[in-house]
Amino acid sequence: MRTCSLIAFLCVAPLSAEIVDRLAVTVASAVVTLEDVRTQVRVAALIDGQPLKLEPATLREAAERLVDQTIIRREMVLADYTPPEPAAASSLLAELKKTRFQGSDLLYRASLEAYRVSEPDLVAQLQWQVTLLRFIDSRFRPGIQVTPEDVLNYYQQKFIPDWRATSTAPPPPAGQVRNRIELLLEQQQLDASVERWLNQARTQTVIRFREEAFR
Amino acid sequence: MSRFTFLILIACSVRAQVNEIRFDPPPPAQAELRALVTVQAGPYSGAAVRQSIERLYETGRFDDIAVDLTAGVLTFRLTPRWFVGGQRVRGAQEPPSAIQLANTAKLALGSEFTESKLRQTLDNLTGLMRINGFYEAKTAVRTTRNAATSLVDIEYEVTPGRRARFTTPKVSGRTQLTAEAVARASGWQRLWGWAGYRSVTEQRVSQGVQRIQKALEKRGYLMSNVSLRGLEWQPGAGAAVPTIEIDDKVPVDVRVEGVKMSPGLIRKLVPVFQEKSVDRELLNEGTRTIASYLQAQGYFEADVDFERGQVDGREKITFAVDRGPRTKLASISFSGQRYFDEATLRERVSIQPATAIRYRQGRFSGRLLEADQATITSLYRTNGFLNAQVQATVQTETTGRQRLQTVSFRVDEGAQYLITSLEIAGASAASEPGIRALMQSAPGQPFSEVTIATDRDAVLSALFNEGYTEASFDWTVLAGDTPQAVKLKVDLRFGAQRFVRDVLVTGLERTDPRLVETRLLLKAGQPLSLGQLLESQKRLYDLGIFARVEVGVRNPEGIEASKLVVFDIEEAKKYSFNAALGAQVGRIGSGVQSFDTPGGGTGFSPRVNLGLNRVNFLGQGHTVSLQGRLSNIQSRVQTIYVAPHFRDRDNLSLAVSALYDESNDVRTYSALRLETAIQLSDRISKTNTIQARYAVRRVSIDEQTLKIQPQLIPRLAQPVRLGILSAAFIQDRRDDPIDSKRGIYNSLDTAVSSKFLGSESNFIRLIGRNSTYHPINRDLTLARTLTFGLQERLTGGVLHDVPFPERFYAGGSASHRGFPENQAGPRDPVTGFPVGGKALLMFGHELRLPVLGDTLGGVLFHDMGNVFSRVVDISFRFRQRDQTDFNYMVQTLGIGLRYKTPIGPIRIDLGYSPNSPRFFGFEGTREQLLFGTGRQTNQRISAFQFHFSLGQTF
Repeated sequence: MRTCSLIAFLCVAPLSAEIVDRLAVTVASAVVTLEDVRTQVRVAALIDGQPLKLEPATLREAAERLVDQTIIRREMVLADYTPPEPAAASSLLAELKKTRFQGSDLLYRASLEAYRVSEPDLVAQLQWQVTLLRFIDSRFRPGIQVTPEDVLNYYQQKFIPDWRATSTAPPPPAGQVRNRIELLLEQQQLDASVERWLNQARTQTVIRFREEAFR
Repeated sequence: MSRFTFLILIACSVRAQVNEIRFDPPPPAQAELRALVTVQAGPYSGAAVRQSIERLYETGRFDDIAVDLTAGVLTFRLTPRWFVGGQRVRGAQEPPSAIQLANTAKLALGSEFTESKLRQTLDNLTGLMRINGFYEAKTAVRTTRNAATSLVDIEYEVTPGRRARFTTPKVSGRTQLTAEAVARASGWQRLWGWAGYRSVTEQRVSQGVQRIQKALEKRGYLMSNVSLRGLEWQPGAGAAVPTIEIDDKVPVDVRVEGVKMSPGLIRKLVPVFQEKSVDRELLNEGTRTIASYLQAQGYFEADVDFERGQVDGREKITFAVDRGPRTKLASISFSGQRYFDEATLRERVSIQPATAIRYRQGRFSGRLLEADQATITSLYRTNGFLNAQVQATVQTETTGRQRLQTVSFRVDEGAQYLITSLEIAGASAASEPGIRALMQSAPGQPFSEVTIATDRDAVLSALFNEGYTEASFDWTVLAGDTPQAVKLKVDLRFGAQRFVRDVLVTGLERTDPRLVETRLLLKAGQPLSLGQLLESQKRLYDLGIFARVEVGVRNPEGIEASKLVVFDIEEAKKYSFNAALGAQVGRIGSGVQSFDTPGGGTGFSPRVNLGLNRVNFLGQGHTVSLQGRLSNIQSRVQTIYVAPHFRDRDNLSLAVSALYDESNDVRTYSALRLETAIQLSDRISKTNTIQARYAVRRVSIDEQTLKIQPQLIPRLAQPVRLGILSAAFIQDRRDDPIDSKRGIYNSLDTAVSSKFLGSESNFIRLIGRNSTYHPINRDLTLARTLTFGLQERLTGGVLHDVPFPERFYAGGSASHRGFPENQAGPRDPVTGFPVGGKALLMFGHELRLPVLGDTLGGVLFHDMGNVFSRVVDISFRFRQRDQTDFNYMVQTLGIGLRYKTPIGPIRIDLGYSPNSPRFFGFEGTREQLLFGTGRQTNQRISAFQFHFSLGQTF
């Protein structure tokens, strides 16, 4: 009986219309398909070691990230930016294998299978991460300026209160932690300026989500 | 392997197989779309499906795309995108006009259509109606979707309702003006408020605000701010209350000390008035413009400074002027130039040495000198002298009481950079020669960025016209083998070539579509040429029957090999009416019955012109017009049927006319002319036109008005029917037909009147004109003209001579300025009135020169010639033998003034003719003439003639 039911199911299943892919979002004339969004979710879950959830909310969140990626890619083309060599992604992959899969190729392959991620998709994602970081660095870092006053203000208004909240020892002198604070402030300013730019670019771009893709 | 696992694998393999690809719904041009789909029959490929979705979306024709796979059939489910088609506005009450409303809609033809855009458009329309006082206007929209073209035609229905009137404005802010003063200044009141307020229009609203601002400026509040905060609709009163926010700010007094200047001139020269702001930069600019103005008056060393301060709450700005001595620019010299000669450089400078009349002190200012330096430098740089330097030195010396100034331009040309090689990358072997031919930058030619920019425009324009709408042109320069040698490399990117899928015309209601089709240069399958797109639009406007021709490409941003081109047309109104009042003042004679002043007396002739035109007759672009003119020397009604672009030929036109004309512009008689004519005109080239014309007319002279010896009246007053076939050739190579400075104008008109053409009189006529215009230098032009005409009867004796009204009559402002209008040539030996001649020879010479500034010019002229009895009587004699001899050359010397206007120069000419004709006149009544009892008088055409007219003489 179970066999009969299964055969009946298998006969019917391919006959019913199944959406294999569709437009999910368009960013001006660029396309993000539903499969792109799913792949993004799968690869992200694999890298982060999180359980795979292909729920509408997760898909929508991934689609938003892909919109940002599309805008940045367009900016790279306009700026004639040369992406880094693939070797950069290879070292990231090796690092990932070492940290996430304890260097075991078997474990790595099994995870790819479990998350239904192809190795090229994973490599592409890692390559994108490297490209993105370097692009942001070259595009936005020259405009970042951290002054000694900024460092001092942070030290007095943030560092010392935080230190005292967690430690009874006297806080280190400002000169000792200047470099760390500088790096931190630089990163904060960098993130803020990327976010500002992205928000502005989004308002100037026609972005259309196809809600059917996220139901 | 378990049985269950095996079945799963079967299921997967069934899902992963693509046997057939479909589109749902099947779109037009399916084959084109199929070529974009990279999925092949066989194993399912997600990457191919994704790529296919991307490529289909890039076409811009689909709003949404989903792909499903069922039993091996891969179906692309497409949601088509809609595009803006024709737009019409109904129910408009001007202002705003239907075209203004359509423009406000701002939906670009062929662009993507969305409901949200449509809602925005309706808001825009409502806004425009409200700003024009239609607060109760209702706007509705009807859309019609055409699935075959994916275009949405939009029809807006506007119900305007009543138009609001202005009422007393509310005034807020800090101002000294009362609401009443604001109302008066705004111009919104009718008859200063006695007749209430005017109705609201957008133009009146903005003009009103400007007027209030001007009223404040007149009171010294230069920096005041006036803005309209809103118009509050009061339905009960049918009025809109304007709320005006005014901030007077500090009043400003601007004075100029040290020289007399009118307030108007100060306002013109000091930019604080235009900018409505006072700051140091603007005041510095004011010192420069005042100095420049004084320099232009000859005060080349004028020194201007300013002071500002606050007195009694007012800002006082004082320009202190020390204009210095008046100086004359005596000469300009050039040195150091080798590549260009001095004349070439002199032509390009705008400063001018003093002349006797036009520039009494010369034309000079610091700004002009700087501009001239820049012009000469630019000339050199454009010709490859990249390091050229031009220095100007001004020297002043005093000779007696006069201060003379000289300007010396010292040119340091430097080395000339030449292009040694030109490499064009990206062009095919077939296209490269054509591209090289378009470029002025070539091996051996001077290197200049300006020339390359021109080349770039030329090449891109040519590529755009071949459908390469994404073409790009970049250039780089490499060092050559020598220091001044340049290797030029051009990188061309053609991009994809776009073609015309089809051409769609919308909006035709009365016009024959075939007429429009013949005017379109773009056809399906041809490259999508931007130039031909615009040229087609121009050719449609040239028909003169369309109020609006909008052209668009459907889905302009979509990546499609071929595009649908859409022309949305709005036809013009069928009827137009024109009316004009005018008057003629000149030596046009006295009453019709009077024998006084056979040589013409000063007269005044008011004139009324009325016209009714029916355009686009029968939808063929033809025009039927009825034109009437009524004055005390002419009553004329003419109907003309004009078929331009006859038989689909751009340069061919056919005109059929019927004329009723009763005139006595020739003072000898009053003639009634009834005429029908047909004329075919062909502009065979840009400069040459040929015309063929057949006219049948009946001319009769009112016996009671004929002022000639009585025994000739019965014969000459006979009505005569004429059938005349004529051919004309016109060659016009003038630079400007209204005010020619160079070029040539030739015309030759031959006509035959024969009984075979239905004529009662057999004769031939030939009239030729040759005019040439020669620039002597930048300011002087020598113009000359020759007019020759002859008539000869073909058969019969003197009783069958050329009919009286068909003879040549000449003289006046447009032919020979030694005569009043139509007063040249033979005259009746008894009455002295002109009787016309059968030959005509006239010469005109003019030296056209500037007088004052750029708008007032003058001429010195010499006219010689006459109308002669016969061609064999033409003589160059200066002297008139006796009072019955008119076959000699009348010479006239004169001067004239020309005031330049956009419609041509206004002309005043004064001529002196030392040998103007003397002749016998008659004093008495018609009865006395019949019985020979009147008195013979001696008459003479006045030696001085005055003419006032519009346009150059020739």
